[in-house]
Amino acid sequence: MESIVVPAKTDYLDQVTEFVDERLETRDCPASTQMQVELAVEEIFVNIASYAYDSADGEAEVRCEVLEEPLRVVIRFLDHGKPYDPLARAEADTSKEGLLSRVGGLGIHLVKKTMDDVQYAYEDGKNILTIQKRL
Amino acid sequence: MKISLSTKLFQIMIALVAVAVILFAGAGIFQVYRFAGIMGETNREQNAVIMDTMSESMEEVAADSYRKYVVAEAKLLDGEFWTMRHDLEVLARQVQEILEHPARYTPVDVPRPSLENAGKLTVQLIYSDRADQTDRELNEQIGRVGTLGSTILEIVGGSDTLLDCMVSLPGGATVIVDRTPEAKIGPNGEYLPLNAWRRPWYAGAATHGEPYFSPVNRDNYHNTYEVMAGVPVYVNGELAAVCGSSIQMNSLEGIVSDAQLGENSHTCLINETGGIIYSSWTDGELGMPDGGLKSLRESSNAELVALVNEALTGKTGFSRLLLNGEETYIAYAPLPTVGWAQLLTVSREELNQTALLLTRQTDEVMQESMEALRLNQIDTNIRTVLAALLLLALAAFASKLFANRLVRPIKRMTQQVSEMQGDDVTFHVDDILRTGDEIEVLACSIEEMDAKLHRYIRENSAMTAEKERISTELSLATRIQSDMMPSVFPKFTGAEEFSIDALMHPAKEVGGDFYDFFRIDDDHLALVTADVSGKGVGAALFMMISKTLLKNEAMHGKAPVEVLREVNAQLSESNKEGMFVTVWLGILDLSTLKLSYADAGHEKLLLCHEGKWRYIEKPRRSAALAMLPPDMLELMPTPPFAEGELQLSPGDALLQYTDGVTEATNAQSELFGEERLLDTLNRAPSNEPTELLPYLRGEIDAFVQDAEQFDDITMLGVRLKKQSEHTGNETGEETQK
Amino acid sequence: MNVKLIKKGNVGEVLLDGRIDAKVTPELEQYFQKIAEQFDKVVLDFDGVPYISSAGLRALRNLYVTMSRKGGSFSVRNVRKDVMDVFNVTGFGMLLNLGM
Repeated sequence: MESIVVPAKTDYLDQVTEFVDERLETRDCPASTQMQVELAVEEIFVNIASYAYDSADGEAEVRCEVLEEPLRVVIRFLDHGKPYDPLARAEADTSKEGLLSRVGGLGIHLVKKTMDDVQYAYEDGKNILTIQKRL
Repeated sequence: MKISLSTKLFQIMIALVAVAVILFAGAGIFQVYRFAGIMGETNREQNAVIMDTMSESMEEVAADSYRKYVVAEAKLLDGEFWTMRHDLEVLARQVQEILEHPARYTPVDVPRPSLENAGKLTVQLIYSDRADQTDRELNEQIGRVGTLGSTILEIVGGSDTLLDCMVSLPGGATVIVDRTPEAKIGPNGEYLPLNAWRRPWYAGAATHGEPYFSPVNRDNYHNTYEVMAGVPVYVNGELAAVCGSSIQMNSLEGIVSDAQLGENSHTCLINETGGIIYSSWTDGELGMPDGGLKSLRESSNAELVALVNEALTGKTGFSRLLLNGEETYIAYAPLPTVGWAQLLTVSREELNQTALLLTRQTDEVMQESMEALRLNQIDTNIRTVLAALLLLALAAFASKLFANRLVRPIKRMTQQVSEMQGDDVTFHVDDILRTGDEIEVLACSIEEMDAKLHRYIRENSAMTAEKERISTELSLATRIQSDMMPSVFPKFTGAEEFSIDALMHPAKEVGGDFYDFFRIDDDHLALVTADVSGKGVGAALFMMISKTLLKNEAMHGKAPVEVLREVNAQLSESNKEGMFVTVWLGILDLSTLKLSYADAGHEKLLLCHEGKWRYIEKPRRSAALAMLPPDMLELMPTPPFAEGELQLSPGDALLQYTDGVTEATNAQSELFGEERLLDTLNRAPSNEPTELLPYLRGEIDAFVQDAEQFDDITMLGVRLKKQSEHTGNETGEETQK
Repeated sequence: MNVKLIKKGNVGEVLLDGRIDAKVTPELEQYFQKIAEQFDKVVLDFDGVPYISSAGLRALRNLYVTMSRKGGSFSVRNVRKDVMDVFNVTGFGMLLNLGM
């Protein structure tokens, strides 16, 4: 799987998006699917950039691969910031404050609703978020 | 196998070796020929150089020896003349002694020539024709000179070459010693005179006052050439006598001719004027003419003239010139006593003969060596070819052997692989396969692969068993699920105000669609169709939860939209997977036949009124349950679910469904679609659910044909019976609660 | 990201041009705040917007809240398909009653 490593800052979002776009373009991906993937990538990367390392510097690794049967793109985000599962929603906290303060709510929602599969794991000190989308 | 690897290897190796061998052998043979050629040329060149050098040096050597010869011979010859002069000088001194001191010597009688002494060496007195034979002083002089008679006898007698020796007195008398007294007597017995003073030797000596050699003159008497010498004697400053002697050239000839060497060499004696005194040439430029002396100075051969002049200057030398048109070497040496020169001629050929001989021998040796070389070269070539053949044979053998060795492990591997079954690990890397090269690597890989294969097969069997188990379980789950959904029979049959039918055909073993219908109370019937996002087990589980929640809330008697709102809130709570479900919920008031319904992102309701089906348009867009994120829901004044009411009449029918119906796709990628659905319904023979639904299903199948079912297909049909259809109601069973 | 403001009385029309992603949103939010203060009614024209991410939605949502709170109104028009899909998934469409 090809990958890039960039500092976890929103300035590098374009680089990450370009990296993924390159792989999608080789497969004649429909424009709206591509846009959804770009959106998911932005949401996840911005999340990492904003919250994974607090104010410290850190890196994010993005891996991207197009697989066959079915034709799909698999993108994996890795960071070694504090453990955080974006898919988890605090079950008990249904208060207004709780809802509004949860970070990346809309973003992750978008990712979950537009991607075919979203998986999270914490291994070897890294947050690993993997998304899949059929092309 | 078309050509075995072993054969291929063999062929390649042999080809390589053959090419190499042929190249080398060819190169070798070529080199040998070239070398031989060069050698031959070098030989010839060398030969020529040697010939030249040798001939030059031979020439030198020969020339040198010839020079030495001529010098020696000239000396020899000259010696004779010197001796002659010397003897004369000694005699002259004796004569001088006698004539200066006459008193000391008593005259002896000197006889006149006599025939008796013919041929004998005798002392004789000869008068000149002017002499006064009676002069007393003269006769005394004669008598005194006569005392030297024995001396003079010795001089002539002891020489091989002197003809005579005499002492001549100016008075006109000569005392002579020779072997031919008879020549002094005339035919009549008279004494022949000798006028010595006329003779060159006398005149020359007298003139020059020193020993004088006369030029060669012809002895008329003997028909020979002779040389005479005279030495003057002075007493009191006046000429008192001249001693003289003569040599005959013939006797010198012997010496001269001895000097000859070989057939092509000649000697030649020339006098002070360049005249040939003697020559062994019988003809030609140096030949002696019969008639007399030939002067070489008059020769037409300029070179010859030059040489003669050189020689007569008293030099010793050697020159090459054309003599009689031939290249000739002429060596010359002087005879200083007489001022003559001796020439020794030898033709170039003669000179070269020795050289030629030697070079011929050398050449022969060269030829021999070249021949030997040639044979050697052929030999070498034969050997090269033989070696090449041997090499090829060896290479063939070695190649075959090597090829086989190389291929053996491959054969072994092939054998082992063919025995591989996978049921057990049979491939082993035995010693044959431990070749220490790529073959060994391959063998190890195959061994690994065999092990993996074995493992995979084991796992596969396990997995297959597992799959079968899962499949069984899923079938179970299917059954459970389908059991969960109410079926029409025993629940609602016959004596109801309505008839209901429903079906749910999942795309996979378990589906995400569901339908539900239940009585909330005696008066109210709840109808539900729902479609969970996705398919398979996840959707099925979510479906179960949704279904349960909906029924729960509905059973509280809430309005449809309330039910949806509540269920939405609950579903949204812990929805990690982000699933959602579209729902249509309708609650029919059986007494008023009023239908109130709510819709969360679901399909439009179909209503059949007076035999005509139509879509009930949605009052607004609605969102599915658990679709929206909480913070969005927060913002909305009310959750976005559509609600509506319909007043139904008896005989009306309702149809609800999920998008598996409208989105059923055929092989040409055409969708069944809402239009076709409406169309199909309006063509339906009956709107009785139990007939309508199977009919619709059939139509869908006909449309889809062989294409795969993508989505779950769910239908729920309700028909309100007309008064006339109610069965068994007359007896009043209806309202027992 | 370019914006063009057209004043029509107390209605402010903002023509948006460009991608609305996490990078441009901070600036955009500030701009929206100013707009919200100025007008009672805000119309956003999305004709030139090919893409929007959650950061953009957040800006929109904040604008919506601000306008709602002051009793004003806020609507959008000329939304392209891809942006519309995002609106639907997040419920924005429904929030703004964007057609059926």
